[in-house]
Amino acid sequence: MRFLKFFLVFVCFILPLLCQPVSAGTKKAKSIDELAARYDCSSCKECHEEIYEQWEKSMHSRSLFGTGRTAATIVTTITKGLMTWPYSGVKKPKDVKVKHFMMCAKCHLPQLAEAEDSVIQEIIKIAFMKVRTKADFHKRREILSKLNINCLICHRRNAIVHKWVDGYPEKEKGVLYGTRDVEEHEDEVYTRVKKNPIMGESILCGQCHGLGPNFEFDNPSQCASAYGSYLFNYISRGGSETCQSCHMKKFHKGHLMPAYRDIDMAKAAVEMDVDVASYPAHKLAMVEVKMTNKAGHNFPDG
Amino acid sequence: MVLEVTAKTPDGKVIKRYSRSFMPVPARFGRGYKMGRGPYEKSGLIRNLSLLPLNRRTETFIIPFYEEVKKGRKVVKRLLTKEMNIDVELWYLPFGEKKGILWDGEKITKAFYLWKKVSRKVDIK
Repeated sequence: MRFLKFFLVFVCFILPLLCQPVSAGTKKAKSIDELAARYDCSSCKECHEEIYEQWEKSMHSRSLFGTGRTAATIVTTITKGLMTWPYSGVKKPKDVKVKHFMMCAKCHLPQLAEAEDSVIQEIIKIAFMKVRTKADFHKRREILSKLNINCLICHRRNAIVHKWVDGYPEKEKGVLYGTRDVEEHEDEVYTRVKKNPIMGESILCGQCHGLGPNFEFDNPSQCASAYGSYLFNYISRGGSETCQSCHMKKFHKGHLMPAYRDIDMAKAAVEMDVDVASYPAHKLAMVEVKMTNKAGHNFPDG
Repeated sequence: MVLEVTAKTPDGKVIKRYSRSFMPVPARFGRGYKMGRGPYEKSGLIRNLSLLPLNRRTETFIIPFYEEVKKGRKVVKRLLTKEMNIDVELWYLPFGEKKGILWDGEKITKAFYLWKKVSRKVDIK
């Protein structure tokens, strides 16, 4: 009888607790600061200074602010999108919940999935802030840039695509994912680095740099489609480079991972030849412009 | 991405200006012929006018050295110049035109960006 009681208690109460994923017990972040602290990667700088500084200058370090256009698009997504659609459940900015914003946050802030609705409300408040002065602009930029795509997103949260094959990052306590195994990683929290088989593969970037419509959402969004054109236009034409080989290695850009505004990337991406000829009898000139896209995706993307 | 071809006389007077746009044209909510603006509207493509990878695209412009003017009932060709300077410019215009500012990570800069420029002379002398 005593054994039966213990068995029932074990099955009904203890077993479910043991079977829960580690993240299930983690409380959701309630504020921008709390979410930023949970994904704080400042300690990485102590040993990986050069990489950290490259990242600090990258678009990834301000994925929610971008060049300013991303922050502006947060506003239009709400005012021109969500608030105008009859079945979205959003009549005013205050109605926006995390579930509404995940169509942007999937890539601009995937960790938002671990936040309460109060965080998206805080983001909206900052995004809707009236910018009258340069100081306002920088205030908005600084607050929104607290949340970003940093070391802990690519080297942990989103590091694994095939979780049934390679495991669930959220269940691996203290583990980061990199290009090689490091048994003793000098960090208080992340004490081990596991080799990630896709760290140098385009599919890692493809999670965000898009195939087209994000069909997993009730109302799909479409931002980037670079990965789609990489697969179906570049690889299919015999291309063999990876995202990392052009945006990180070839021009020694590392974790800056620049795109069109970088002079080296711009020079390499599109070749332009111009031929002119004249036809005096017809009083005409002919200009022939030959443009060759040498990038691994459509140009421009969008 | 916009390709601009400008033909000028040797003293800088613009004779002709052409422009062609290259960009993917996303469908609005994945239906019909209207273009979607903003990631919240875009789904699928109506046309893909961007430059395809590993692909050469040739754009041809025929530029007259003359203009057509009416002379009585006839339309006649009036020579404007015997020599032209041709500027070919490839612009990146994130807002679709030469306007707008953005934050480049260190400072506020112009959003539009001259990607490539080639100049050529051509004549019918």
